[in-house]
Amino acid sequence: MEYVELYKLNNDGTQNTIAVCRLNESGIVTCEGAEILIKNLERNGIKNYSATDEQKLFFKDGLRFLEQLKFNFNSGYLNASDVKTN
Amino acid sequence: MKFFERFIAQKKSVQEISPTENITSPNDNLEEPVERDLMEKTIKKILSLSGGEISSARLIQFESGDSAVFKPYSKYSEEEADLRIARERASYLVSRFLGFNFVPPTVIRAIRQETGSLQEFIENAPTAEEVDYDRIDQHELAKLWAFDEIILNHDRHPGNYLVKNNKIYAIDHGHAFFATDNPPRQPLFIPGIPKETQKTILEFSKDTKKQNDLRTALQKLFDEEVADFFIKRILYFANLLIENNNA
Repeated sequence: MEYVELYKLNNDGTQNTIAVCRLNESGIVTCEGAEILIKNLERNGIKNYSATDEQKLFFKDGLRFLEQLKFNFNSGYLNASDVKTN
Repeated sequence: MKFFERFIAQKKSVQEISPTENITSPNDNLEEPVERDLMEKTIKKILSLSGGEISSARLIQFESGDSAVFKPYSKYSEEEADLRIARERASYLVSRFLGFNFVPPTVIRAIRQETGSLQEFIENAPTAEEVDYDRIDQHELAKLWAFDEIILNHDRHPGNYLVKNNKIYAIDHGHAFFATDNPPRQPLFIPGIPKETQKTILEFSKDTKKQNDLRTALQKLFDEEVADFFIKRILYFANLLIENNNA
């Protein structure tokens, strides 16, 4: 099943995985980890960089949501991984 | 090609400002000590970071004990990378000159045969995505929207600003200085900008030396017309402040 990890950068340069978002069997994303972060992602969605207009993606958008996480979180402070499979 | 002709010539719905051909001497002689320091500090360690592969952000640790985020935009073409790096520095300059003080000091530096933006790392600062939005200072947010109007930033979201002690730090400006209209629309008035910030913008609008200094700095990153365009955009925004304060 596909999943994406979100990494938080610490002052010493190490990174912690603070949340994991997974595609469940019904094609919807569920996330575990940092509570406020997940609440914000669920409520406000993320930007869809593959769309030309101001479109947002939400948990219900499944794999498309997972694929766009790394484009939304790439500052170094909070990075999202590629979509991984286990 | 003239600045606006570049907008008109492209038929894509999204158009971007072209950079000058090479960023050979990106930093000017207008740097503040903190910027010169970033340019010259001895590097102790370069740490690759997991995730977020577009920019390949790295953490640079200095011998002095502090750190900075280095973004060479290495996954882009050389031209696109140069443009994005220039935008990172230009955003810092506008923030500095207009007194927004949002963008951590940012320079352009070559590190191990790669050129990228190098921005002071803010310790213990979560992204806005990690905090309760309702607790973010509304005046700071109004300032941020105003800043984005001025620099034509179409990519502000909670993943690219930090919140620490009620203060916002704006990061990730690879999409700033970016136009989607033909020509780009004038900035909108943003209510709620703190008086102190309004005062600094109005002072800038009356200070031709500061305007020339910023124009010179932006010219070195883009070109003369783009620099002029953004100075005019700031002056237009200052007029909006005057009109709304008189209304």
